[in-house]
Amino acid sequence: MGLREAIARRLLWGVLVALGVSFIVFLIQHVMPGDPVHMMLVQHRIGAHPAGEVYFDEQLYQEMRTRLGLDKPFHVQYTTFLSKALRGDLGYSFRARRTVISLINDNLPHTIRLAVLSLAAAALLGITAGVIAAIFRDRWIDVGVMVAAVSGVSMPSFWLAIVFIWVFGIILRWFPFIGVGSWQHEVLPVATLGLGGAGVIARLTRSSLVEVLGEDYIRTARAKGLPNRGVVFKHALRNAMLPVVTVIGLQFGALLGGTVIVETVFGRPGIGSLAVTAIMDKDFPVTQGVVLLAAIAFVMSNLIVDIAYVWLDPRIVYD
Amino acid sequence: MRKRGKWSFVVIATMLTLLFLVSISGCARPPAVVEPPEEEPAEEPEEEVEEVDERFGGHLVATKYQVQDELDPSITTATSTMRFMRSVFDTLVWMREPNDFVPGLATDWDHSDDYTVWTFYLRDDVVFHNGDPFDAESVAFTFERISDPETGSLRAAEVRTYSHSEVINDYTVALHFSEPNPRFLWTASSEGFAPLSPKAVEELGDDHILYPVGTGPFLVDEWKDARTYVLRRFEDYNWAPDFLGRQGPAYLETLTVRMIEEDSTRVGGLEAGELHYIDNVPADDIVPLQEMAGFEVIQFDQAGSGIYLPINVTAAPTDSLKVRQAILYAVSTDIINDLVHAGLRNPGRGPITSATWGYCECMDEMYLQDEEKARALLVEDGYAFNESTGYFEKDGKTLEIDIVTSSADAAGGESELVQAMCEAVGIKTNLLGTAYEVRAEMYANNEYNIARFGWSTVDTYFVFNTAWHSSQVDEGGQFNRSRVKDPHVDALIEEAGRITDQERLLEIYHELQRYIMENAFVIPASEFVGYDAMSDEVQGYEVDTRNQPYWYNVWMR
Repeated sequence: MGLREAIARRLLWGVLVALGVSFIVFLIQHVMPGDPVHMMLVQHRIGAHPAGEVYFDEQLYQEMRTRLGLDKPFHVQYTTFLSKALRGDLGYSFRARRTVISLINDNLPHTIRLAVLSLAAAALLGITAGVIAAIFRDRWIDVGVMVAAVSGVSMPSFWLAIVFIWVFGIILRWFPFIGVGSWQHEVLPVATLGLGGAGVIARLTRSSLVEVLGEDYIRTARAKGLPNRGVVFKHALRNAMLPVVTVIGLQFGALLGGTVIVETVFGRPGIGSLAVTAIMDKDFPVTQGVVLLAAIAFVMSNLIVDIAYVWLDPRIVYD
Repeated sequence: MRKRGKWSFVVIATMLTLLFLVSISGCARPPAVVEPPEEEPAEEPEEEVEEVDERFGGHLVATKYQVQDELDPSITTATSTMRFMRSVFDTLVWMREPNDFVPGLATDWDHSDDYTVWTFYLRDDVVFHNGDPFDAESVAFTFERISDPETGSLRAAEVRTYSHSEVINDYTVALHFSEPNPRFLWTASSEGFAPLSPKAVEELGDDHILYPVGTGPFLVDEWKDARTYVLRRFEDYNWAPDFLGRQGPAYLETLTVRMIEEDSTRVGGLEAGELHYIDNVPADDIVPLQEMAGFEVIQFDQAGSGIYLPINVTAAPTDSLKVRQAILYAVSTDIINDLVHAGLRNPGRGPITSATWGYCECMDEMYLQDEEKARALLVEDGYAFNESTGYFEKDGKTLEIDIVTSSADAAGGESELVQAMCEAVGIKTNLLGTAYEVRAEMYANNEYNIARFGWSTVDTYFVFNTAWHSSQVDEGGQFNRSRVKDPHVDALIEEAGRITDQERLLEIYHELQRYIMENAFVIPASEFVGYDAMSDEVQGYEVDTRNQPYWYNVWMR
C-alpha cells in the first residue's frame, strides 16, 4: 500500500473518530445534570448570582424547550444533528442565537494564529536550544540550556501569563496585553505558550541528537574528514528530527484546544474560550461543534506528522 | 523500501501554507452592518465654533466580565450587557426611583380604570439610528415581536397578558392586556421593551442580535472581534430625558466594550491604562485600588434578595419552627460579613436587602446571635444534648442538617461559616458544594435542608413573587427554595401585584419580611455589594436606580 492509500485510510479513520467523538459528547451533554433552558432563563454564570428582572413562567420554559428541539427524544436529537452536520450545518447556538459556524468563524482564526505563532516560536527556540545543548554536551552551556528548558516546561501557562502581564504589560508597559488587534498584542500570549513548548522540544532535540551523533554512520562521516557543521546539520539533525516532529504535531493539536487559559487570561477571542463559555452555559450545539472541530484538528495534525515522517526518513513504509 | 515521491512534499507544503493563510486571515473583522451616520458639518454660529467644549470627543474602553455577544435587549436579558444597551435604547418612560416614572420617548401616558389598556403619547421628533422615524407603529411592532413565540424572547413571560396594540395615530398607541397590569410602567421603563426599528429588524435578520438599532445616544457601530464591540455616539440624538440636564449628542465619541472574564486582567488593564472602566472588581483588589492614586472605586449597594440561605420547611428536621429559629440564633451575619467579605458587604438581615425599596428596619435586630437561646429552643423542641457526641439528639437520632450550596460558598463562603456556627451549638451540619447544575437538580428534588439563593433587582415585588410565591416551589424557576406554600404569603404577594398605592405596598412588604423572619424561613447571609472601578480620566459618571450608568453624560478628561 502506498502513501496515497495510507492517507485515504487515515482519513476514513478520521471520519469514524469524528463520528465517535460527536456521539460521546452528545451523550455526555445530555446525561450531565443541568437544564440548558433553565440556565438560559436564569442567566446564571460562574461567579455571578442570578441578577436582573428576569421573569419567566412554565409556558416560556416549554416554548424554549420546543424551540431548541430539547423536547424530542435523544436519538431524534442526535440523528437530526448528524444529518445537518453532514451537510455542513452545525445548528444554532442556544444562547447567542447565531449559527455555530459563524461563532466558530469569528473565533477560530484567532486561535489558529496564536497556535501557529506559538508553535513556530517554540520550534525555532526549542530546536536551536536543543542543537546547541547537544553540540556542547556536558558543558556549562548544555546545563544552562537544559535548566532553562526544564523551567519552561515546569511553569504553568496561567502563571507565566500573569507574570508577563505584570512585568511587560503593567510595570514596563512594553506590550498591550488585552485582546487582539496588532502584532504587539500577540507577543505576550505567544511567549507564554511558546516557552512551554520550546522547553519540551529543546529537551527532545538534545536527547535525540546526542543519540544520533553516537551512531556509526556519523563516526564514519567524521572519519572521512567532513566538517563538524556538515555532520551535525546535514547528516545527524535530519534523522534526529523524527521524534521532534511527532511532538510538534501533537502540540499543534493540543494547542488548538489548549489555548483556553491563555485566551482567558489575555481576554482574547478564540475557540478555547468559546468552548468554555458554551460548556458553562450548556450551549449544546456550540460545545458539539467545537469538540468536533478539535477532533478533526487532532486527526489532521497526526496525519501531517505521519506524512512528514516519510519525507524525513524515506525508509519508512506504510503498510 | 519505498522512496518518497515529490508529491508528498507538495502536500505538506500546501497544508502548511493553507494553515498559515487561515491563521493570518484572523485579522479580518466582521463587517459593521450599521453604518455610522455621515458626519455633516454642523451649521453653527461662528462664536459657538470658537468655543470648543472639551468634554466632547473622548474614547472610553470599558469591560464586562461576562462573555455574551448577544445585544438585542428584547430577546436577551444579560444584566452586564444591559448596562451598555441602556445607552443604545431609550424607553417609553424612565424610572428615577422605584415606582417614580418620568417621560422618555412617551411624553405622557394614561390607563383604563382596570389597568387593561395603557395609552402612550409619543414624541414626534425622534429617529432610530438607521434614520427611520420613531412612531406608534414601532412601539406596536416591538411588543408584538416580543410576544411572538417565534421570536424566542426571554422577555416573553413579562408580557404574557399582552393582547394587542392599537395604533390610534402616528404618535399615539394603546397597548391592550387580557388581565389588569398595574405594574406596566416597570416593564415600559426596562430597556428590554425599548422600541425597535421594524425596518432594521427586517433588514438585519439574524444580525440584529449583534447590531440592534434603537433611539439611544449611542449606536452599535462595529464588532472589532468576537469579544470587543464599539458603540459610537449618535450625532442626531436630541431627545434626552429632562433629568440628564442637556440635549444633543453624547460627549464620548466611542465607547468600546471588552468582554474579559479574568479578574486580574481587568484590574491589570485598568492599572496599565489599557482600560478606563472595569466592572466587578474582585474583593482582593478593592482596597488596593481605593488607595492607589488615579483610580476611583464605585460601590453599588444592590437591591434585591441579597445572598440568603433558604431553610427547607418540608424536610426534617428543619420542618420544625424551633429548629429553624435555633439555626438563626446560632448564626452571626456580622461575623460572616467580616470574615468572608472583609467587611466589604453589609450583613444580611432579612429576605430583601436594606437598599431595597420597602425594607423594614424591624429586621435590623430581629435575630442577633445568641447561642444560649439557640440551645434553649432545641431543648424546648424535645432535643437533648449528648455530651459524648457534642450534638443534640431526639429519639436516639442526632440533629443533623444538610446544606447544599455552590463549591465556592462551601470553601470559605457564607455556608462554611454557617456550618461552623451550627456545629458550635450542637447541630450536626453536612456541607455539600456543587456546580449550579447539580444543586439546581437537588433543589428540584427536595434533597436539602438549607440551600442558597441570590437575586439583584430593584423590583421588590419581583423578589417576593419569584422567591416566595407558592407557584415557585415546583414550577417556574423553582426559586422558592424554602418550599413555603403559605396562603397568607401568597395573598400578600398577589395583592402587591395588583395595586400601585405606595403606602399599602410598604405595609405589605413590611408584613412579608416580618412573617418570613418570624417563621425563620431563611438565613439572610449577606447583602450583595458590587464594586466597579475607573480611572480618574472618566468624568460625569452617574448611575440610575438599577445601577446602570448614564454613559450619555460621561466624558474623558
